[in-house]
Amino acid sequence: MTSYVDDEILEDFLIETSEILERLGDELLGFEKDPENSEILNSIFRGFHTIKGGAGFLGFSSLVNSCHKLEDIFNLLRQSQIKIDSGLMDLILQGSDYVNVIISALREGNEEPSQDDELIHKLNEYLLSCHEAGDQLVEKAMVDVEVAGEAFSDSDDAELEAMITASLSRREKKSSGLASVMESTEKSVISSDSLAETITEEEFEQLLDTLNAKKEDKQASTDMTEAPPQVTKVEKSQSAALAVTRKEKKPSTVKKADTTVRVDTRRLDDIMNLVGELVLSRNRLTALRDNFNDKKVIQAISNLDIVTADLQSAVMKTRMQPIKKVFGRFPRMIRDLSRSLNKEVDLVLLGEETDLDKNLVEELSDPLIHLIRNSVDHGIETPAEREKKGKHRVGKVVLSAEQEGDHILLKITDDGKGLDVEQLKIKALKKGIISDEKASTMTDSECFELIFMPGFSTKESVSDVSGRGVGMDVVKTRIAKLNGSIEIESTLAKGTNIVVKLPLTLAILPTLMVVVNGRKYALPLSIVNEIFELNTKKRSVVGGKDVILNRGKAPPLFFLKTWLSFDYMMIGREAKDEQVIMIQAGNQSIGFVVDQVIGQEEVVIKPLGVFLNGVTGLAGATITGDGNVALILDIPTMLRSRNYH
Amino acid sequence: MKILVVDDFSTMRRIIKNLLRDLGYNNTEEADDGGTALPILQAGNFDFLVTDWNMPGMSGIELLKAVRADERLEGLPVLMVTAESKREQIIEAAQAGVNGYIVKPFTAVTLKEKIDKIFERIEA
Repeated sequence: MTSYVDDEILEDFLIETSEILERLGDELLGFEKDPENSEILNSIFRGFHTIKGGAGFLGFSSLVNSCHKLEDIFNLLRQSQIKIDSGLMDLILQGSDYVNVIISALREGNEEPSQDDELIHKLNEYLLSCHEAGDQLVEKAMVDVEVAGEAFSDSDDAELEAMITASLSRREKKSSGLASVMESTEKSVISSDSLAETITEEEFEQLLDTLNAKKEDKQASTDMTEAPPQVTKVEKSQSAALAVTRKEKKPSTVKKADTTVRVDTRRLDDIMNLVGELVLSRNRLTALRDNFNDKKVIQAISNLDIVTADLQSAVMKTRMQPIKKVFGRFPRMIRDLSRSLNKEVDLVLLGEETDLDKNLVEELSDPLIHLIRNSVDHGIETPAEREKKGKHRVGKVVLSAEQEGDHILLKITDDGKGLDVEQLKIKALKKGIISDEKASTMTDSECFELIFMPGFSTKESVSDVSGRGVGMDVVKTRIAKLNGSIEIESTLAKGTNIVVKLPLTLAILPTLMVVVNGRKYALPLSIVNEIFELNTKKRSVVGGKDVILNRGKAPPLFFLKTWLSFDYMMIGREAKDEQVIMIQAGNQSIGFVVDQVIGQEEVVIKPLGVFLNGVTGLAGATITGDGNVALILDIPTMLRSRNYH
Repeated sequence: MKILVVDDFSTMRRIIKNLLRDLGYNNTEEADDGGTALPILQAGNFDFLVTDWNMPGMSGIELLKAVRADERLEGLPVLMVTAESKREQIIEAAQAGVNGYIVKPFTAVTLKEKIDKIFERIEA
């Protein structure tokens, strides 16, 4: 590599190209829906053009080649020489996918993949067939090829110039120089079968000579004739006026370019970690506050408390990204899915601007892809089926995001066939996931939960769409890992609604601090529904199991101490003032008994050391306000490890 | 020599800046399209303009025309960066008053040749 290409430039190129590709993904689909939109067309053309230009400098020949072909196709499209159809769209998308493949390979530090000859061949053939089919009209249009696609028309200028030249220059000038270059240009372009005829260095030099000579002529003749200079003046003031109006339109972009700065995410992660440490120190200080008698110290600590909270949220904001990053790929996915499944599906995206932590955005992508695939594959019926049911033949999937307090709610709603409770039960029984007894007492919402069970798939044969070796159980685990929850509602024949609830950030976790067997534990606050004192009158035993009577229901009750203690002497011994914490696990409520509830505390999650790593039921550890270590409990996996779903 | 590099693709701006630096031109500034370039040109004493052709907003050719239409910038040497040496495109640029063009990708040597040629012609 030459000196002008260093690693930094390569990195920049890859980042910038990825951004362009992301935009292109949206635009390509937008273009398919609205093929007459010349703005989108030009932007797509420019996208591939830009990537090609950069790739040329970096010596990525496959990339240059693929982009070049796509650029050519879009050039023909924007000159209305060819029309888009789904076959061509498939080819284009295939091409842009390949460009994506190259870029991701490069981003992973691999060599540039070799050219996809089959694809290039297909593109070439397509371009060739366009040229062969080209009639007179096409060839004529080619004269106007690539006048940069802007409002300026070369021919007008040329005519004007020609007029000026004719009136000013002497006969002998006209026969040589510019005129001949122009003539030969027209001839060669019309007769050519390539997209553009190129100019040589010599011709260019010659052209400059001619133009210079002409300019001198013009100046010399200004005194003699009055009219021509006026023509040039008009031309000048027009372009000047144009420049002015452009300038007025521009300021917003000027500002934008000035106010943004690109920062490596690792740096943001470092800052976030430091803020995390600061939060811990703050927590310690606030815990110690009561030991101080000095009012000033107390005030200073309170101040620090507020500033730390502000700093924390400010830093968090720098890590926020609109969820559009994930949502952006779904229109394409739905398009491909509906084509391969012969279904018609409309995807509606809402709340794309909702911000959440960058890491979350990345982690969310796979689970969401799976959920949406599921909705289209299992939920939405075929157009014929839908019409028979009196529904619109085009199915609808709505994906929405909204912030609710310190949480993000993601909803995936489809108007498909909904979940059939009886079928779910039959399947679960057949697979031995539930017992007959259980099946008869299950509520509808408990039945819906079945689809999150490991080894449960609602379709007999796993289609290549939804079943890629992962099931809904994996989705659930992934979301639980993000300290989120997933709920499902469904109405037969009407559709299914899946709600995913997630914290805004992964780095700092709001928890409920509790004491069990004299030790502090932190429970993610997001799953806590209710806290109340354990009243023996409310305890009961149903089917040999402890339950707690609460709000007209009898959810199961567990004693956390029996689950956490290694000291068997402690088990069964009941402490005073025990508290029940009602926890939401999926669609179910479960009561946990703890010795004492301390209160809410924001904690920074620290990974467990080598010895404790992988212990089920523990999500990590944290340092509490009093300087001790508290374990963070992972209730969902704890329940699963005890075969309680 | 103070040079303004105009391209909407920041990677490209960096590449061109690095190439110019290799040639000993360290005094460079950047703009991301014609619209942002014009006020910068009008405000600062630039001796040379390197601009891409295809940019959103104000394209290279429009910038060139605006430069030539501005009394203060009329004489500013302009080098146009293009993807292909398409005849009609180059003719249009020449008519609008471009001093030279260079086809991507290019090396520092080619860039030097182009710049030298432009100044040769101006001084002649």
